Amino acid sequence: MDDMKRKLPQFEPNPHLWTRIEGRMLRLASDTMHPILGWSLTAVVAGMLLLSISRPAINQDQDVNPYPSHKILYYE
Amino acid sequence: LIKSKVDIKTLYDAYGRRIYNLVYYHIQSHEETEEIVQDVFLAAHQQQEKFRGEAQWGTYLYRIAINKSIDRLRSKKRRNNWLKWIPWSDGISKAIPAEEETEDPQLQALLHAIQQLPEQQRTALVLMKIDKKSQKETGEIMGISPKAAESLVQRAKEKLKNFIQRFEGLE
Repeated sequence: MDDMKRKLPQFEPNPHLWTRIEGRMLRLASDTMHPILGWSLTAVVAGMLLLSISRPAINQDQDVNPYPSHKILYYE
Repeated sequence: LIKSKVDIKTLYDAYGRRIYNLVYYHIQSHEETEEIVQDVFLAAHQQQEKFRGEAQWGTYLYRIAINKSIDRLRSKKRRNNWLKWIPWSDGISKAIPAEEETEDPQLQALLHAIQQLPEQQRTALVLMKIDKKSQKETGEIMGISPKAAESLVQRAKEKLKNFIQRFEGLE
């Protein structure tokens, strides 16, 4: 049995193993970041679309001069 | 309450070699051991918020490593059982990494004998005889009492002793 103890060695992991783990952690981080960015962008675009639909460009209930004085161009 | 994230590199430096050996003595293939060790530390990376002290991490890493090793061994066994029924399975089984051969025949025989031990006996033996864990620590990792851990190791040693005697008789 003592011989067995001597015979069971401790193995050394590959020196590049940590680099591989680090690479997989980075890939995992970027994989989870992309959906978050994608959904945020979708939400912003959808919000802008909703705002533009719900707010008419010209309020037609009021008598609004479509040519405000400061925008009138005078031609000779 | 401030929860500080544990640096995975610090954990790897402290436990990487131990986890590697624990997995290797179960799987006996360096290629597959590397894969499992990567998975263990990746799981730790995803669970960073859960733990604070490094002591808790030790038990967690050992448990994950043991579970992943046993899962891998069971799936290999299932796959090999299925392959027996396929007549053209020779080519397929060659693609599956098998246990690696070492140059020392006695070590090779010993590793083979360890592989034949029941799961719990093998885990207890590796933790106590290779990783030098105490009965209490081994029990804690395996979720059993220290006495039960010691008895598992005794039974494993008996089986290995018989195997070595048979092996030496063959030489």
